[in-house]
Amino acid sequence: MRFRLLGVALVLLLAMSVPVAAATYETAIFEEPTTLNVFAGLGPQATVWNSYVTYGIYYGMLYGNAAPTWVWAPSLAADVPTPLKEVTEGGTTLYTSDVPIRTGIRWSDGTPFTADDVVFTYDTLLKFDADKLGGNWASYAPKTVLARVEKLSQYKVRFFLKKKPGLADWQYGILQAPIVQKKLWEPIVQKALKDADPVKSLLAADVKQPDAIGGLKFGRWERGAFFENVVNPYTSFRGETSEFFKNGGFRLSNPKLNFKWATTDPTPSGEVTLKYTEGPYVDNVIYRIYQNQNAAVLALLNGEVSYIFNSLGLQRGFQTQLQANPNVEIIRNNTNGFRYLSFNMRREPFSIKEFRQAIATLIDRDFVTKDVLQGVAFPLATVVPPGNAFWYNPEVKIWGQGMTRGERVQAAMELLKKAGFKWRKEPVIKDAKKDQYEPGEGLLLPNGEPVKPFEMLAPAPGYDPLRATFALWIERWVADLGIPLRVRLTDFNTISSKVYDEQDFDMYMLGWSLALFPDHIYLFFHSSQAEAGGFNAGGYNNPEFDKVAEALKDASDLETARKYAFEGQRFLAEEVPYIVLFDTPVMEAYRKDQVKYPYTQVLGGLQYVYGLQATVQLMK
Amino acid sequence: MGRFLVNRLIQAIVTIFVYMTVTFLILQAMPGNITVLYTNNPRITAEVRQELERRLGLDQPWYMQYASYLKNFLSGSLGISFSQYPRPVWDIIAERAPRTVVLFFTATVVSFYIGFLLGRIIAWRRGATVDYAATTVGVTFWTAFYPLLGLIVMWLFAYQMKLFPLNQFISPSVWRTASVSSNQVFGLMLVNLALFALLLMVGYGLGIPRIGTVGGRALTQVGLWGGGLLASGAWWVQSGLARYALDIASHMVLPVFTLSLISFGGTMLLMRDSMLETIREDYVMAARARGLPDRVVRDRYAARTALLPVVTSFTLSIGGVVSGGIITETVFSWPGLGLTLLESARVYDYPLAVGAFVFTGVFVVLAHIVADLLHAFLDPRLRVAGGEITAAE
Repeated sequence: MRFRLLGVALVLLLAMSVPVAAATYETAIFEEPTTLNVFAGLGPQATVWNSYVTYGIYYGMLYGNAAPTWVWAPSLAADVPTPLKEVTEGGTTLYTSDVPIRTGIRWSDGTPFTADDVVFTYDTLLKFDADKLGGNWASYAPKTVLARVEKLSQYKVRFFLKKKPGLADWQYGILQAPIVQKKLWEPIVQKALKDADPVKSLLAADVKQPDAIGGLKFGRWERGAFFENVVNPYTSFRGETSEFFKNGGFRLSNPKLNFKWATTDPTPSGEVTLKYTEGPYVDNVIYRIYQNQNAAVLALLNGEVSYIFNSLGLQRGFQTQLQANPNVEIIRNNTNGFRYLSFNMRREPFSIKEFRQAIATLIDRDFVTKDVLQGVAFPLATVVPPGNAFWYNPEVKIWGQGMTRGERVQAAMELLKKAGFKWRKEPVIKDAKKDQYEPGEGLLLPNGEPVKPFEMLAPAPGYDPLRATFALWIERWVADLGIPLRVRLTDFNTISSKVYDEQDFDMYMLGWSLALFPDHIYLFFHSSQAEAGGFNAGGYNNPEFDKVAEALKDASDLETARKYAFEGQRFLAEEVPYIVLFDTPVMEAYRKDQVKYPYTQVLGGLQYVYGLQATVQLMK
Repeated sequence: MGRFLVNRLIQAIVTIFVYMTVTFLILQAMPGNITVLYTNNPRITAEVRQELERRLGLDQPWYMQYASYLKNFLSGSLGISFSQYPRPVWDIIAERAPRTVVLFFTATVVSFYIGFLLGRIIAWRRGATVDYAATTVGVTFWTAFYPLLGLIVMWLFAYQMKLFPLNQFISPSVWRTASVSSNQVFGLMLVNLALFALLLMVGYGLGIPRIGTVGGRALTQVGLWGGGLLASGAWWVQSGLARYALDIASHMVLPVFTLSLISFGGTMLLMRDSMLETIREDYVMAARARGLPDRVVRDRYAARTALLPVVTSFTLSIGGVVSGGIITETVFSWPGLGLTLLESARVYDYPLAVGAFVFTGVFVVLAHIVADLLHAFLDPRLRVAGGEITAAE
């Protein structure tokens, strides 16, 4: 009897294994999305996994950054916003700008996208106070900048701003807010506003079928197992072509909407380096949820998934395993981030610029990244990584670049001497080129007091073995100058609390993932950000730099912003509030026998462009 | 008996209270809170973090947070999840618990059944090759490094031999057009398991022992199991959900197999030791002296008494199945309560972490009470006196 039942079960199992006919792009993710409610998902529940499966694919913004070059371009808008115009209302000065909207775009339920949706979105953010919605919303509707948005016509809106905004607040902030559908959200918003806690009510709204305007819309979600997106039948972007020119120009054309747009500075001309046309070319996208990389890698090898989303990139061991499979392609891209060492510049000796420069001189990034870490990481020296090419200043000072160890010790010693430091036993340089020197002991402050032993907080190997390794090498190198540094490898949260909440630390090592626009130059180093909870945790305070950072933040055109971004990088490389150390490339893998992407080289990797779900093509 | 039960319940309530408090304090002792996660994004300002802290009640001192948590708990709520704000903790537990219970209950029953059967045999044939072989195998797997074993099992049976799904608990190709959710099917599987268990309990408790002949008992057992399986199968086919239940069952094979490999050894050795003690008892010797067949002496005289510690151990294990196992759930991508516990602790989701701990803790405490009661019922040498179990003189 039992054997018969087993037989029946096996037959049924075999029947189940027959694949469905849909053209499916199957991918792996490691954490479950948490919500279909965009307000919660970009607010308190903001996770990269929510963004992979919904926000980058469903929602449109007035403007976006076209990958892979990240050129700023209209998305739902029809053209660039008009220049800001000063107006006076009841004695208050405001600035206005008009934004034309593309015609013919439809939501996933077939209703047209109009100025009403745009006005409703910003109105909602203002009513609920974007700060209270939490997460990313604050930067989409900063209450110090955005006053209101008005409808001028069915396809034109006017923004009213409280002050002249910089690029960060305007082009890369307000104008890139996800636009929600008025029809879906208006009843929810109205109900929430009547509740005792409107924000909680809005965030708790159970959205069964989220609004979508992109190529895909929500299909099914089996919590813990998989998430499915299906083609949005009303997508207006199918057939839209993006062309990237060698001279930096960019052109968009959508025959279906009779829409054309191109950059004016520069005007597209000459060789086209990349051209792709939006799909989707698949019927659906399935995200299988795995709890570990082992499982996902086996699934990729088995052909169950074609691509693995992984914000941390593939571990080295898996890369080797995958490289052995001829059907798997490994791709390597730069990341937009860095890992760094910083100081509490409120305390001596970290407040002394030459001390920070001396530490930077002693650190041999190339040695650790190439020889110790065997190329897993690459060295970095400025707060804008080279991958973000438009904003990266390649000509900043790199302390100790090209020096031998002996030369580094000698140069660092000279810097310290210049600032008035002394030693109980001064280091002796015999032959700097041949690394012949005797380490010093007992570093003394310029006032003659001994430098008290201090501590560097760095992530433990379990969290980040690369930073832990770097930290131990730094401890060893600075000992050559009699600097009493002790590394404390600890967990990320301890470091984060001590650095940001308590500001109780000497030195620490952490890392950043960055946005495209480098306003972090302001956020990390401007003196106004030095209070508890701010991101200038080290308390760097330089009025001259503040002026540069403010100019960058307030710049309203790209060239001006770029000039100040370069100036800011130069300043920071000289002043060394951060010693930028290194980063790792993002390594990803996909099945080249199953899928074909229009491009694979892009800052942050394919995951940064949501796995190119609207342009990927399945192999026959 | 009533007094014993009341005493046990009072003890259970105190235990749960202490457990809740300790869990809460341990989580509070971790550095930082959920807003630490937002320190990775410089565009999320200090004001936004403070607003989030206020909204989640994290700006209150710990004792106020504890009072609020107790108040929630006593009013039947476990609060609101921080990481999935404002989703109620109960929602998340209700979503995760059935998956965990179905998997770990099945694995526990299978491993105990195998352990019990093998333990009974090897004790009876102590010193024989089968004794050495089973003991060696059992102890080897019992001490194996579980994640590695799980990966080897998965690599061998799923990746190389392609006999079973690689991991996860359902196949998207089967479920993407399903009219039910996997949790609904898990719920029905729980009901099915409960009814099946009830049938077996009734059968074994009332029917089978009263049947006189060995052949009759064997036939009844086959009928009971076969009938139960057939009825279950018919029910699933009739409901139109058999395809989905089978999909889940096919995904359960490897984790259940791995869990059983790991843990059958414990039950087997417990049963073996218990049997070895029992077979030295006078009544077993007497049964042999009466010329009863070996199998009857083993199964009806020795094994039934030797079963007591195994039943206790099984009952306690059943109490623990709701907590699942972080490693199993991670290796096999089976997102149940174990992973919920881990993830909630990692992201400082205090209400979810404490809620999940309390939920599982309550089951363990209840299992202890049930184990005590079962022991009192099953072992005639024990009598409940003065609210405590004592050995009868």
